[in-house]
Amino acid sequence: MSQQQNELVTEPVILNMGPHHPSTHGVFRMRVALDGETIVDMEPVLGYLHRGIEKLAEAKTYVQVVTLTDRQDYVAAMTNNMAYVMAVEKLSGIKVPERAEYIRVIMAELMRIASHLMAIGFFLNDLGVFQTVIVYCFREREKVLDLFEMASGQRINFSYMRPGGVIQDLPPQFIPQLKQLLAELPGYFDEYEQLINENEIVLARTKELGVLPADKAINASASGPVLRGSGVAFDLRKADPYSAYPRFQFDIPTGTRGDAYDRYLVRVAEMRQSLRILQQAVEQMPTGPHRTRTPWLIRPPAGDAYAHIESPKGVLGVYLVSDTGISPYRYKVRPPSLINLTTLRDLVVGCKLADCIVIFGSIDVNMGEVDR
Amino acid sequence: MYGTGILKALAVTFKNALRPPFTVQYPDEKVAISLRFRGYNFAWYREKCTVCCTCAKACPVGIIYIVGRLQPNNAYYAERFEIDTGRCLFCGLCVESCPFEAIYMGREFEQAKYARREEFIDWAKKDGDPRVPSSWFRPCEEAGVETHYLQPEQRKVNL
Repeated sequence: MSQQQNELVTEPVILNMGPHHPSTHGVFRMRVALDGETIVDMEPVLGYLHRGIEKLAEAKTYVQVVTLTDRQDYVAAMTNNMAYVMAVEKLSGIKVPERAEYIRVIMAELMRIASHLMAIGFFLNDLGVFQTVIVYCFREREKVLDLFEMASGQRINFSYMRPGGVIQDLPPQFIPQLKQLLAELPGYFDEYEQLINENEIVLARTKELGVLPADKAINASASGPVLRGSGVAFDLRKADPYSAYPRFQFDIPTGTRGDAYDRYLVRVAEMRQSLRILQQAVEQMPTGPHRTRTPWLIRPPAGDAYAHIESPKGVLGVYLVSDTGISPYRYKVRPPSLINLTTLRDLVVGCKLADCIVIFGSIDVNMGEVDR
Repeated sequence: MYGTGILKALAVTFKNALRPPFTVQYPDEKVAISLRFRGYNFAWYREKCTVCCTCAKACPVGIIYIVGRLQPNNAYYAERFEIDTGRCLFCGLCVESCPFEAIYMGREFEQAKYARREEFIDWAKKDGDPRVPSSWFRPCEEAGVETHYLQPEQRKVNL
């Protein structure tokens, strides 16, 4: 009898997680093959949020495309704007004033803080710490969004940057409020670390989970906190400095093991480095024009340009081809979320089903950017 | 010792429980919005508009409908200036492109309507209605200068 039980053949169960599972970040479906509670195979199903932004951009003028870039990674719209306008400037040879570069750096670093706060909040939400951490994180994110609203008029879809600078100079009360925020934020970050870093439940759930070795991360061309959590000190702000970044002192935080806990630690450390950059940017802030006069309908010479920046989620690249018309001939995005997501199958196979959500949360993808 | 981390974490949640709440009870109390808020219900001024349709061309989704009539004094009169705010992105490109500062973003955000038709706002039929303009891309308004009745050359500011 016992011999018969040993020879019993079981088939893996196919389970669809998503697209409207409460733990998936946006509309994402995982077809998970389960053997008991262990994952034996995983297939991501993409495309639920596909809006054809790259094709839509071919029918819009260069300035109008800025509104589309807001909708790619909707929790980090400023960096999307920045990557796009840098590509247009490269393509058409537009010079950017000094002050505009500093405003862009301030906006990009504030965006990194807001995006990482959201990543940490949802990561802990996926662990089962329902609403506690995420509400704390949203409290600080609100303050950052208030600053964005003050400068650009919107809280999510900023459309703040234009080829040749930024749309409007900072309002006079922006810098005092930013300084006040810079003084407040380290205390809140200490609170998160006290809440999470030594918490036994968090450690038991995240340490040695979803280990991504450095060579695998490089082979998958992962970037951002996913790559740095694996111990590779690669950051485009240092590797290929753009905008005003060469003038600022900051470190690249890296992890050691490449597990979900390391990726969380890297995000908190990166937020502290962002504060350092913001401090320096506020101190060195030059005066002058915030925008170069550009024609409403930009007609770049025929050719192509590629600009890439370090967005909160990784290397965000924009490739533009011009045929001297008023709209791009081709607009191609290299989204960091999509490429980081390709590592997911390697990470989750062999884990338990409940850990699959934690690993997915630790990669921090944004489906608006994955599907575009 | 096992459990100290959880006690530390509980100290944080206890500290936050003693803080005043940062949420607001929305319909009863509202948060202050910034002067530059790009919001609902644009402000359009007939006396500045020349019916050049630059805003309609600049709109990424094409939701501004304008009908003009040539008057005997060779100036155009806007018979219809309609914005389909139900499809609006609130990107502000119409405000940015207007050469005569005739259109402003609004500062409201309560947009819910019972029918889709009510989202169309025909400003040509609302001449006497009050306007709540936003100061987005209008630096003079932000500085508190009423530019409404200034001459075009006086209105010019270094953007």
